Amino acid sequence: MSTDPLLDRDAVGIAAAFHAGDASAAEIAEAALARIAARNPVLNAFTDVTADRARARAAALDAARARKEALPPLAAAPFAAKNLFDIAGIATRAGSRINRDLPPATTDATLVARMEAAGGLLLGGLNMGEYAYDFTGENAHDGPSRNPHDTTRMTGGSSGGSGGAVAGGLAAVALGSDTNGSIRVPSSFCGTFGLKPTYGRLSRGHSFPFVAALDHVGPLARSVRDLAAGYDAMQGPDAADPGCARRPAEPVGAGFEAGIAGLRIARLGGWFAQHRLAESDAAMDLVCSALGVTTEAALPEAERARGAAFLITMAEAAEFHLPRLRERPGDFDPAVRDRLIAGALLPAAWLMTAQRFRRWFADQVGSVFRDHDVLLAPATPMPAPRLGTQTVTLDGVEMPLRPNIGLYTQPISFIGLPVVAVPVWPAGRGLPIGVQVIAPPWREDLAMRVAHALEREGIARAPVAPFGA
Amino acid sequence: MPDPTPPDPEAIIAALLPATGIPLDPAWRAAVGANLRVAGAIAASLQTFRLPDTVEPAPVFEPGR
Repeated sequence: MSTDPLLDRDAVGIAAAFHAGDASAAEIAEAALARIAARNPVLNAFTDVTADRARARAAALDAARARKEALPPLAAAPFAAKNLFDIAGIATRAGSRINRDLPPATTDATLVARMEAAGGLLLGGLNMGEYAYDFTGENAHDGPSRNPHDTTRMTGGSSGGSGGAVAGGLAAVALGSDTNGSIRVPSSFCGTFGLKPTYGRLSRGHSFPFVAALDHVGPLARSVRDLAAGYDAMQGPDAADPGCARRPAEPVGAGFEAGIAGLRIARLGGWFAQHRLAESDAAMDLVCSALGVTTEAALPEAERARGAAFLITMAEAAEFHLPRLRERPGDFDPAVRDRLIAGALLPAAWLMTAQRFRRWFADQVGSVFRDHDVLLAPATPMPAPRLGTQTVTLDGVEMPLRPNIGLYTQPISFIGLPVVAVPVWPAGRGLPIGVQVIAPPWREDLAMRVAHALEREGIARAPVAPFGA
Repeated sequence: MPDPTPPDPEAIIAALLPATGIPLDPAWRAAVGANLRVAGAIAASLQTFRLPDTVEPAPVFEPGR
C-alpha cells in the first residue's frame, strides 16, 4: 500500500502510524520527498530540500524502533522551516539574493534542532518574502509561493512557503516567523492553524532577524494538537536569543482539550470591526456563534498601535540592513529596498514615541484582559488575493493592498500577545480565512483551548488541498 | 500645542540621506519619498497623542545577558 495518503494526516497522526508500525520512517521520508518532487514545481513552497538529511534521520528512527527504544513524540513527522532559520550546510537566504552569498550555516536554528530532537523529519527550507518584510508570499528572486487551494492566489507572507507546504501536504508542520503578522497571514490565506506565541516564548536563536523588538517564531500546522505538540517540543530558555524569556517551559500537553467552560470570550470591535470584507465578517460570525460569544470589547487606540509597529519596523529593519543598503542596494527586491531606505531616514524621536506608545498600549490592553480571557478578531480583512494584486477597496476606499493585509495582526504582535490563527471556511465560498484567537501574555493555553473547541465543532479545519486545485 | 506637520519627504531625503552612506539611484527617489510620506503621517498621528511623562519606552533589554 502506498505511504502517500499517510501524509494527509497531521503530525501526531503520522507519528502514531510510525509508532504502530504502519509505516517505516524511511517510507514516510521517501513519500514526503516524492510529494515535494511532484508538487513543489507548482507550489514553490520549498527553496531547499534536505533529502539526504531526511533519509539519514529516518534511518536512525527506524533503527531506534527496531531496538525497541522509546520514541520521541513527533517521530517521523515531516516538517520544514522558513528559510530564515539556519539549517546546517545551507546558506540562510532569508528570502534574499544577497544572503545566498553567505557561507553555509554551521549549526541548526534552535527550533529546528528542538523539532528534530522531538522526532521530526526535516525536509528543507521554505520560500518567504525578502527579509520577511512582506505580507504576500511573493518573492522577487525565487518566485511566489502559490496557494494550494488556488494556485493563482497568494499564500500570504512573509512565511508564504510555510503556509503553502502545510496546506499543500508537503510538510505536516512548518516553522515560521511573525513580526507583524507573518505566521497569521499565511495561516489565514492558506487555511492552516498557526501559533504566534508570546513575545520571548520561543527562541529565535540562529535565525536571521528582521525587527528584534517585534520578531516572534512559531509553528503552522493542520491541527491544534500539532500546534501544541510542536510548541511543547520547542519551548524553553535559550542563551542564543537575547529576547528569549528565561521562564521555564510551560507545556500545554493535553490541556488544549479542556474546553471553554468558564472562559470569558469577547469579539473585538472598534478598529477590528472596520475595513472588513464579507468573508472576514462571515468568519467572525461563524466563530462567535459557535462559541456563544455575544460580548464586544475594544482595544483603545489600536490604529495608532498599528502605526507605531509600522514605524518601529521601518526604523529597526533599516538600521539592521544598512551595510547591505550601502553595498548592494541594487540586489534587493525594489519594494523592500525603498521601504528600508525610507526607514533609514526617520527622525529618532519618531521611533522613541512609537516605543513609548508600545508601553502605554500594553498597559491599556492589560486592563481589557481584566474583564476578558480571550479576544477574537479577524486575521486578515480578506481571503487570499490573486497574485500580483496591488490594491484593495476597504470601506469604499481604494488603498494599497500590501500594507493593509496586516491591519488586524499588527496591533496584536506589537505588544507580544499570544495568538492562535484558526482557519474558517465561510459557507458557500471556496477559500479559507483566519480568525485570531488572542490571549493574555504567557497564556497560549487559553488560545489553544478555544481553537480546539472550534476544531472539534468543525468550524475550524485545515485540510490538505487537493493537488491541482 | 501646535500639531506636528508631516514633513516634506524631499526635505528629509536631502538632509539625511548623505549621513547614511546609501547610494540612492534617482529612479528610486519617488518610492522612497512615498514611504516617508506614510511614515510621517503616522508619526504625526502618534505625536498628537500626549503620552503621560511616566510612560517609558518598551525596547528589549535585560541586564546580565
